Amino acid sequence: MINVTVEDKQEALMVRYLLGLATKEERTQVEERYFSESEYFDQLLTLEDSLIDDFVTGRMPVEQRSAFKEAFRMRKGDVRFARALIQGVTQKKPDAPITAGFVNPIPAQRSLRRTLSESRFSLAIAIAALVLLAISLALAYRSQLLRNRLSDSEAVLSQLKEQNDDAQERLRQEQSLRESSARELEIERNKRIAADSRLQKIERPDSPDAFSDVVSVVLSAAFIPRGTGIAREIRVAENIRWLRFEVFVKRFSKYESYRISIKPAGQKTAVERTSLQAAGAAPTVVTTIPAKELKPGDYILTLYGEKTGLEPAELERYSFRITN
Amino acid sequence: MDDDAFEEFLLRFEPQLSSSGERYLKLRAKLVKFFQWQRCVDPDGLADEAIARLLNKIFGGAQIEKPWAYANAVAQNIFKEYLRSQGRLTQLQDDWDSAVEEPGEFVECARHCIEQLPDDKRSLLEQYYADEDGREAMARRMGTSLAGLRTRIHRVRAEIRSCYLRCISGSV
Repeated sequence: MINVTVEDKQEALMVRYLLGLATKEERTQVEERYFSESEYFDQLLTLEDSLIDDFVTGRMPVEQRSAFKEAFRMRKGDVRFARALIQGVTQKKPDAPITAGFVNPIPAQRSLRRTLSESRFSLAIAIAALVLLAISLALAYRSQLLRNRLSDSEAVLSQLKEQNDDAQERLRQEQSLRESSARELEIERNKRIAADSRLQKIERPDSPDAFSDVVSVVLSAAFIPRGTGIAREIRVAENIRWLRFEVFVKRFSKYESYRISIKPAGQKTAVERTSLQAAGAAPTVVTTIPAKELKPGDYILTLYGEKTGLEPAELERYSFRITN
Repeated sequence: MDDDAFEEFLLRFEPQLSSSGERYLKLRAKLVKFFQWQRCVDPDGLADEAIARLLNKIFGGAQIEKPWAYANAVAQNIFKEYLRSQGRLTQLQDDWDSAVEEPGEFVECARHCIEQLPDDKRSLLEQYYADEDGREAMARRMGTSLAGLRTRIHRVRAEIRSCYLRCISGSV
């Protein structure tokens, strides 16, 4: 009889939840528990890592693989990361086990009844055959290595070419979009948003529903991009606790998702948000950041386009200044 | 006053953590993971929406008895709204093989980040992945459980992942 412990049952439930195989009651149970118990939440995260590792290394049971692919179809980036990590740590591809080659057995030693010259000749032939075989194997291995390197280089070259094409296309799009009427339209729209916000404050000064502690920052080509010496100034009063950045991405509609990174001018990235989806008729990518994460100073917000299998492509940069 | 109300909410939500920043990040992480596990397209955006609604409730003066239950309820409501707006989930093309086969520079980024680790963490990682069948024995030698070992590995992976994302975006 197999003794199934409480821990085993709990782990099995977590695996069903992560693979999307849990019943409605089980999902409710798990969700209530991880919202209220951080230790349980941490266990789910570590188990999730183990599931991804098992999938990548080929250790996942066949009956779970389809469910895993369905559950993680939006998160192939996580699987790619695990694969790169395991390959980086172990120095070999995780699901391509190294198989040993076979070497032909040395011919059996000749009988003592054979003449001496015949024995020596046969042994010489055998040794020569072995040497030739070893040389052939070494050449074949080296050839495979070179083919792999060539394949990798071709893939990198192809990617660089595509990035170059994207960059040139972006340049053409930017040049056509700098028409003054489009810029004026954006400026007017933002004035309207700012006026609405001020009106709301005047009409309901004490209302907590007015989101009076949130500043919306709308960014688009209407605001002069980095390099021209002019930065958008954002005044953050003491009561402001959230900054909501809205970036128009209509010109960059071919990307699956977007990334926003914000960094102080001349320094490393302070804030980063990935896998953002555009929404709305505009369309717009939105992210909200605690105001205390951005102290007064000059910043650069960079918008990236994300596509499966490719490095994020830089699309646009905006400079802004936070003041009190 | 609103600051105090939110601080108190966070404190009751994650009492074992030592700072408001850590509590906020934990709350946000749980919300993001909830929407990821529901297979939503924009888990970060939906988590931001959930936090905005929590703030709205707190700053409205509401007394929330069980912060974790309320956060769960807000997340569930947002998910239902998401399902209504999305309709039937889009069927994505299943191109797993090409989608997860990483370009060489992703592996190089992973190696670069592993090399940046302190020796003890790098050694831990190497031992963990060198012998998949020996992890229980490894945990016993370290004086911990398999779950405890996995938790340590998860933290090291999180550290590497942060570096890896910066590397593949060209920031490192």
